[in-house]
Amino acid sequence: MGVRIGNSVGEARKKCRDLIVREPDVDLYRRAQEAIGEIVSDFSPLVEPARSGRHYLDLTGTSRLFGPPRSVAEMIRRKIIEGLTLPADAGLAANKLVSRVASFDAAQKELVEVPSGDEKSYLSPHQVEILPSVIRETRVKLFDLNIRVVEQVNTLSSDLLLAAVGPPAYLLQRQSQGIDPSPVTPPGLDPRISLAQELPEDSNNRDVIELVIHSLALDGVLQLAAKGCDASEMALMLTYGDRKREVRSMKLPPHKRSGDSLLKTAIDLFLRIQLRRVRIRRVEIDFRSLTPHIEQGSLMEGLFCQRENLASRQIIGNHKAVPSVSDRSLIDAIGLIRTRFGSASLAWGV
Amino acid sequence: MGGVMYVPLNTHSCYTLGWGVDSLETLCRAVKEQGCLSLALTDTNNLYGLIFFTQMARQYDLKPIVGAEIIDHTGCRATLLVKNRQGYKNLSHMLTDRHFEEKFRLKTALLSRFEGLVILTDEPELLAATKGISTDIYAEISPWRISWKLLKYGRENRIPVVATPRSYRTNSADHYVHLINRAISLSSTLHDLKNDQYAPQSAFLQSEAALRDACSIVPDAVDNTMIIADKCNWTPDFGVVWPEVEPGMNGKSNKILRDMTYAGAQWRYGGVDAKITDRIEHEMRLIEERGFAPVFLVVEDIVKHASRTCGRGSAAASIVSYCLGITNVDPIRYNLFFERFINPARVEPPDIDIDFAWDERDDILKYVFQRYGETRAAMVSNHVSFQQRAAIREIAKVYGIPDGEISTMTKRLSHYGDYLGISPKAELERGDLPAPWPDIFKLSEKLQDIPRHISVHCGGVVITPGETADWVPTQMAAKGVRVIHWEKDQTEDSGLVKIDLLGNRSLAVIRDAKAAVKSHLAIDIDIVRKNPQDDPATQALISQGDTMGVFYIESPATRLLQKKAGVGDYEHTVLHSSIIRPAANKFIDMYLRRLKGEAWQPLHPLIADLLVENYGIMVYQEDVTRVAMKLAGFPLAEADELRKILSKKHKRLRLLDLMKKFYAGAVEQSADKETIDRIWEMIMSFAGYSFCKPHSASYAIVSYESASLRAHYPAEFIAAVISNQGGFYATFAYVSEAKRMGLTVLTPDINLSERVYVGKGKEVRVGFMQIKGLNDETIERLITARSKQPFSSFEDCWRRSRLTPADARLLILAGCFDELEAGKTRPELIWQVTLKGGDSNNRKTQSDLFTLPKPQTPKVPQYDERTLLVQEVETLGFLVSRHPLELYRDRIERHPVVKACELRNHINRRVEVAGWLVTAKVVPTVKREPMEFVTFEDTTALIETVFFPDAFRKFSQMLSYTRPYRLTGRVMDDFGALTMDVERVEFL
Repeated sequence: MGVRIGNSVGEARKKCRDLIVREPDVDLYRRAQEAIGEIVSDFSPLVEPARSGRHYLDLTGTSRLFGPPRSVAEMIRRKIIEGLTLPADAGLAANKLVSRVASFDAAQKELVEVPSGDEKSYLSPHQVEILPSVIRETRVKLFDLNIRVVEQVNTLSSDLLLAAVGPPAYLLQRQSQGIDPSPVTPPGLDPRISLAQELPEDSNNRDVIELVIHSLALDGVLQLAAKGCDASEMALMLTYGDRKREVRSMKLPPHKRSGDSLLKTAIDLFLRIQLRRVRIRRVEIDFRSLTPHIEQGSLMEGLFCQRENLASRQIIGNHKAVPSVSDRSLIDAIGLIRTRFGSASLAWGV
Repeated sequence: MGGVMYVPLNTHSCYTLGWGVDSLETLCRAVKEQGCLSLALTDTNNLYGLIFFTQMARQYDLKPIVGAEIIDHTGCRATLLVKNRQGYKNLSHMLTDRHFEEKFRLKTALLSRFEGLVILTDEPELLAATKGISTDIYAEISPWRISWKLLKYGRENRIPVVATPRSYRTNSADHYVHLINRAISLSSTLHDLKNDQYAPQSAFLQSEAALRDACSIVPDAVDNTMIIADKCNWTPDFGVVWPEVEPGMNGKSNKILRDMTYAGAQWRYGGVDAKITDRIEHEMRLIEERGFAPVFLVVEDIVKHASRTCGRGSAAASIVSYCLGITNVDPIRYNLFFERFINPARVEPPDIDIDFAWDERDDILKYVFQRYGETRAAMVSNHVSFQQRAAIREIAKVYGIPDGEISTMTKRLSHYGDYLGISPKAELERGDLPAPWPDIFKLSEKLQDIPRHISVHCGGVVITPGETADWVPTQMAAKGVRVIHWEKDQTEDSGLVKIDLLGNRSLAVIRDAKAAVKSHLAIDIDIVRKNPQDDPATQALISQGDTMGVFYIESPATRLLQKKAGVGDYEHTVLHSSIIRPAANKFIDMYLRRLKGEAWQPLHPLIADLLVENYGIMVYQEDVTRVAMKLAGFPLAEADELRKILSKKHKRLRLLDLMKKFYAGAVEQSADKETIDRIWEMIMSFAGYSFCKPHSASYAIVSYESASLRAHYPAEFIAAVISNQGGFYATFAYVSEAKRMGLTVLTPDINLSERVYVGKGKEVRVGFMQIKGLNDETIERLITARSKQPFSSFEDCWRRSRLTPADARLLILAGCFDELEAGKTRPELIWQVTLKGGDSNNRKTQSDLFTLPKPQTPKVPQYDERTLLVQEVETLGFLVSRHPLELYRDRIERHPVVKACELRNHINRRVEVAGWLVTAKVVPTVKREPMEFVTFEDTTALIETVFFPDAFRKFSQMLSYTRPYRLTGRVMDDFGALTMDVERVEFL
C-alpha cells in the first residue's frame, strides 16, 4: 500500500483504509532499555540512561581495564548487536552534547569519534536543530533570520544572538561551540515509594477509582510504616484511556502524614485532578521526600484517644508527626492480614 | 381501553431539553394506548413543540391541552394549563419573561397573569401567595412527589388536589436513557449525577390505576384531572398573523399596494399596457381576497434599505413583487405561474424570501428590529437535534471513551457510511463491536432526533401586530438575537408570516465587481437593465460551463450539465438549475437526449402541454402540482400539499394517502399502471430538495448578472469572488481559475494591495486579507497610513503603521516588501524587526544613558527557493506565484502524462494525468453504493473525474487538498463534456 517508516498514522491511513495501528509496547521498550543498561554498566560506573535506548557513559579512567574508548564503544556495540539483536551506534566525544550528535551521525557509520578540541568545527556544518537548546520557538526565530547551520550561529556576536533568540542565547552560543559541562549523572537512589495499579478495565466510575486510590494509599501507608519513614509530599498520577496523564502533588504538613490523613489527601488530590470524563486506565501514587520518622513520646499519652482530636493534638500538642497508637495498631493489623492473605484480601468499603 | 377517567396533565416530551426522551408521537401514542382522551403537554419553561403537539395529538385523536411547567430562578415551580386565548397570552408572556428577566419570580408573575390559566403546584408558598386570586388553583401531587406539608395546607385552605404523572418518559425502562440525556446535558458522567439533577425512576407516564394507587391518599385527586381537562379547550388557531408596517395601517394596505405597484410598473416596463394591467389586476385580486397586502408592504419597506436584493422562492412569480423591486424577474416575459405563490386554496401565508449581500444582512436585521420594535419582531429559531453521529459521540463521552476512539468509530459512520453498509444497525448486527459500543449504539437510536438546543434560523423573521409574545414566547439565543420558540415548520403552521432575510455572497460579488469597474474604468453598469440574459458573450460562457465563481451555476455538476447541453440561453439555464437534484440523475440524461434531438412522447396526453417546455420532464415544483391536478384530479389545495410534503419526513403517512389517491385519480383518467409508476417516480424525484420555477428564474437573473461580469470584466469579477469568500470552491481554486482566465495573479505588496483582492485589467492583486494571522485592525492601520502617502521603506511603514513585530514578520514573509525593499533580503528585514526588540508601535521613549547602541543589521542572504515557497504557503495558505504542480515537474516528466487541455485527443483511451484536487462530492449510486465526482486541475485546465464504487473504495481515502496525484483512467465524452473514469490513483 506504500506505507513507509516515518509516515504519520494519518498519512498511513490515507494509503490504507483498513490500517491496524498497534500501540507502542512500552514495557518492551523499558525492558530493552534495561538490558542495554546492564550491558553498558559493565564498562563504566558512570552511566546515564537517556531517552530512546540511549546511554551516556563516562569512560574516564577505564582504558586500563578495557582499552581505548573506541574499543569500548566497539565492544558495547557488538554485545548489543549479538546479545540483544538490536542495532547499535556509538558516538565518542569529550562531552555529552557532542557525543550525542556523533551518535546521530553514527547511524550512517556505526561509530563516530570526535577528537577533543574539534568539537566546534565538528558541529559547525550541522543543522541548528541538533543543539538541545534549539527548541521549537528558537528554531523558528533562527530560521526566520535564515540561520540554518551551527556555523552561522558562531558568526553572530553575543548581542546579536541575544536579540535574535532572547535568553537562550547564552546556552546556544556555548552549545554551538561544542561546550557542554554537564556530567554523566547516574540515576540516584529514589527516596520515594511508588505504587501503581492498572484498572481491570478503563473506568470513569468515581467509586471504583476511589477504591483503587484508597487501596494504593493504604499500601503506601503500610510501606511507610514498614520502612519507618514519613513522606512529606504525595503525588497522584492518573493515566486516562487516551494515554493522557494528569499529575498533581501536594506537600504534606506534619499533621497530615498519618495514615488516615494520607488516605484523605489521596482522595483530595483525585478530586482536584480529575476534571475529564474520559475513563481512567492507571492510577499511581508516589510518596516522596521520605525521612525517618522521629517518634517523640507524648506527655499526655492516652488522654486523647479519639481520632477527631488527633490532628489538633499533633499540631498544638507536641508536633508529633506519626500515626496515633490506634492508627498504628490498625495499620499493623491490616499489614499482617495483607501479608498473610494477599493485598486483595482487604478492600476499602464505599 | 375505554372508560379511562383520567387525563395526564403534567407530561414532558423531548422538548424539555436535556430531560425528556420521548418524541411527541411516542408520547401521544402511549397516552392513547392508555385509553385517555386528552393530554396536556407541559414542557419546562417552553412551548418549543406546541404546534407539532396539537397536530400530533389530533392525529391520535386526543384533545390537546396547551400548557407548560414554569420553574423560576429560585426553583419555584408550577404547571400552567391554558383555558382560553387570554390564558395562552399570559403563559406566553410569562415564559418570555422567564427567559429575559433575571429577577423573574413565579409568585409575582402569577398575580398579574393568572387569568385564563389553571395553576397546579406542589409549592405551599406559591399556593399561599396566589390564594384567592383564582378558583383554578390546585395542589399538585405526583407518584414520586407527595408533600405532606402541601396536603395539609391544601386541606386547611380548601384547595383541591390533583394527581399528575409529572413524567419525563413514557415507560419505566427508559430511565437509563433519561440519565444519559441528563449526563450529556450537564457534561457529566452517570456516576457524578446528583440526586436533584435527574428525575426519579418512577417519573414516567403511569397508568390511571397506578396513579390512583400511588395517590390514594387523596381519592379525588385523579378525578380532578377530568374537571381540569374540561376547562382547557383552547388550542392555537391564529389564522394568518399579518405583520403591520405601522399599527393600524393594514386597513389601507390594499390601496397603498396597488398604487405602489402601478408606479413600479412604470419604472420596470416604461409604461403599462393591457397585458401588464391584466396581470397586476389578477394578482391584486388574489392578494386582496387573501389579505396579503401587508406582507408586500413590509417586505418592500425592508428591501428598499439594501443596496441590491434578490427576492426568491415563489414570490418571484409575482408582478407585484417585481414592480415593488422585491424581485428582479419579469413574470410575464418568463411565463411564471403566480398561483404557486398565492392561490385561492392556499390556507397558509405566502413565503417571501429575500437575499441580501451577506455583509449587509445583519444591518438589515438591525433595521427590522429598530423599525418594528424589539418586542414586535423576532427571528425564527432552529431546533438543533441529535444527529446519529453526534448522539453516538455524546453518549460515548458520558461513558468516558477517549476522543480518538470516538472519532475512529464515528468516522466509520460518516455521511456515506450508509452506502457502505456502515450504520449503527449494521455494526450492531455484525456483532463484533467491543464493549461498551453496542450499548452506545443502541442508546444513540433512542436519542436520535431529540432536540438538544435552540439556535437561530438562518434568516427567518416574524413581525407581529402587537407584541410577539402575544403569539409565541420568545427568548434570547446564544447568538444574542431574540428568537421565537418555534422553528420554521411550526411557525408557518401557526399562521405567523415568516419572512426570510438571507445573506448571499454573490450579491456582494456583483456589487463589488461593479464598484471596481466604476472605479477603474468609470463605467456605471446597470446590469439589471442591461439584460445580461441576452448578451451573446455571457450566453457563450454559460454554454461552455466556464462558470466558476458564477452564482448558482458554478458547481462541477452544473458546469458539466451546461457543457453537455451546450446552450446558454436564460430559459435553459433556469431549467438546468432546477433539474440538478439528488434524485433526478436519470431525468437529466433523458433531458439531454431530448435536447439533442431524440424523439419523445409525453408521459400522458393529459399532461403533454404542461411539460412541453421541459421536454416532457417534470422539472419544477409546480409541475408536481399541475400534474396532480390534471392527471389525478387533485384539487389545487391537495395538489399543493402533495408538492409540499414530498420533502417532509414527518408527513410520510400523509404522503402515502396522497399516493393512493394519485394512483386512483390517474386510473380514473384511464392512465395505465406503468405510466402512473413512471410519473410517480418523477414526482418522487422532488423529495429532498427541489425548486419552483420562479425561484430558479430569480436566481438565474443573478447568475446572468455575475456571468456577464465574468465575461466582460474578468479581473474585477474574480477578485470580488475571492474577496467575498464562501463560493463553492476554495480560494486556491479561484486563483487557479483566474490564471486560466489569462489573468496574472500578483503577490501582496505593501503599497499596492488593498484589504481585499483587487482586479484590474489583466491583473489580480492578492489582498492583505489573504495573509494568515494579520488582523483587520492592522490592515486598517496600514491602509490608513498609506492613504496619506505611499510607504517609502520598511522603516517608514513600521513607523507610520505602528506595526507589531509579529505583524511585520508576516508582511515580510508574505513578500509585501519585496518590491519596496528590493535591495534587502527578507532575512535582513527580519533582522531589522528583531533588533527593534519590543520597541514596537514606535513608542517614544526617553533615551537611556546606559543603553548600549543597537548592533548593526547583519548582511544575510535571501532564503533558498524552497523556503520562499514554504513561506508563501504558510502566510497565504497556498502558492500564488506558481501552480504547485510546477514543483513536481521532474516527477511528472518521468511519466507519460497527458495535459488536461489535451484530453479531447484521447477520448475512449486510457491515459495518465497529473492533478491537484479542487473539489469532490460523494453521491450514492442507484444501488446505494458510494461514488465520487472529483475535480482536479493541472496547469492547463480542470479535469472532471468519476470514482465509481470500485475506485472509490480503493482510492478515495488517499485524496487530500495538499498534494498532487497521478491518475490513470479512461477519458469519456458525454454529450461533448469530457470526464475521466478513474481506475488508479497514485501519489506523485
